[in-house]
Amino acid sequence: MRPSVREQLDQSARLLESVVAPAVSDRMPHIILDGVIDNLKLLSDALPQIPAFLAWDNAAMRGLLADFGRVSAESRAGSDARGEPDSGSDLAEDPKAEDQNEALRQRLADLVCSVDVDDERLAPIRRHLIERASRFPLRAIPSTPGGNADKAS
Amino acid sequence: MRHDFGRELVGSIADELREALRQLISHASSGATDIRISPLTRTSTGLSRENWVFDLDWSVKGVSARLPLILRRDPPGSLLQTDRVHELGVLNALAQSRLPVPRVRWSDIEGKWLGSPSLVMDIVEGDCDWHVLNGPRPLGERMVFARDFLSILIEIQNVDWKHLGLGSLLGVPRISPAVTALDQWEAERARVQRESLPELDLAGRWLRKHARVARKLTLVHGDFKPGNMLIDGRRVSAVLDWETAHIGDPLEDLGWITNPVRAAEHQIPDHWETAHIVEAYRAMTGYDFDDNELKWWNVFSCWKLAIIVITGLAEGIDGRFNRIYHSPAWLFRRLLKMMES
Repeated sequence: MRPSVREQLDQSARLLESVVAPAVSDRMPHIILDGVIDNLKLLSDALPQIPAFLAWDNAAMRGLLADFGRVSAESRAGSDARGEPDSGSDLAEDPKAEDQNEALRQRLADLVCSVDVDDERLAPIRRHLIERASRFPLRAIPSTPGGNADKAS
Repeated sequence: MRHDFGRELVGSIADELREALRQLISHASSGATDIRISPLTRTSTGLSRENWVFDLDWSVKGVSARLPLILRRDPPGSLLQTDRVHELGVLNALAQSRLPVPRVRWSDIEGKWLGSPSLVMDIVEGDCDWHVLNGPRPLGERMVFARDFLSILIEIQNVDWKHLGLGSLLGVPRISPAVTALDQWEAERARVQRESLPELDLAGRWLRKHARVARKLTLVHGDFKPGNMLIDGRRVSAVLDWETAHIGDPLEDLGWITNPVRAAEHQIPDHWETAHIVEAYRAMTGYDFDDNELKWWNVFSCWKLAIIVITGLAEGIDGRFNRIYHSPAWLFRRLLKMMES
């Protein structure tokens, strides 16, 4: 399918950057426009990585939850049974994988909130969440002050 | 009159605001005549409030004058849901202190005139420089600013908040300020969270387990940073953004400025890092504490910052905030690693 989603994102960013931005003179709209362009570029880079990321995260969470007896062996193998998403796919987001990811993360959240689980036993979950944060495809690191995330007021 | 930012390029919105300002000032200043408001310009600083600068020309008792002013108005969407009454009360109270704070001329707390809660304040000379500590100024000058910032932080903590009536305005934590702060930000998180975030649950669990009792209560700014100060030449001319000020643990603001994720704003590599800041703070205050107490506030700062980010994320999803925010994975990583160390 041409132009691919990624090609369309790249073109959109290029047009905004080279055609629209020079014509925007007001500072605030320009800052916001820069943010939109950055976001399109981030999406272009991240989109192809999302299926593989979700597959990895879902499998890892199933394993962690199984260690706590929170998922059955059958569910643990669930991701494998469904097969790995095509990481080269242009249509990057798999709604099923994303729904599963949210469901599994909710169960993980319930688990870490359980008072009957010792802190020491949560160490593998903490390690997974650190690893997940490192791999997260839509990982925008802000620059202050106009960038994503840094301003508290 | 509520406007989203996307429409602010339309001239009539600024014109409506001008007229609303004129009416507010006219209503609140019975002796004033010939009130004229210059065109409004929106400044780019301040993501949780709209800031509009303008000149007021007027005559009071026959004497003409021009006042450069700034209007701070609540936008439809924001990074923070804060109480404009608190900010007004804090600014009025601190006008009696030695702290450099802007003077509030008029307020429209209910948004009767300006469409949403608003304050009109004097413009203070100076520029906002987020990265003054790591910008092009010579090291010696930056070090003077670093020490001045810490002195101002300590000055805030030395404010006689009881005498100024800030206890009744802001409330005094009945339990540990740490637990109070956790409860407050958990409530904010519950309001804005749009997906499961076990990272924040895990950090919340750690924070609850390790929360300490405060050794004393002080005024806390809540978002102390160079970006919330104005610099005029080589001096700090104003401390801004008091909307999250509260009574709490003095280590909260110290933990905020020594939070590793904000080092680029608050620290100077090799010269003004956490150890230097803590040493200087101890020397200037005589206040002692153990490192784990400060670490708790570092972790809290990171956790709170993540909640602020997801507030922006939620406001964006709802179409009330004109920036695109992402899940703060970069913060989660640092947060969880801090707990580990």
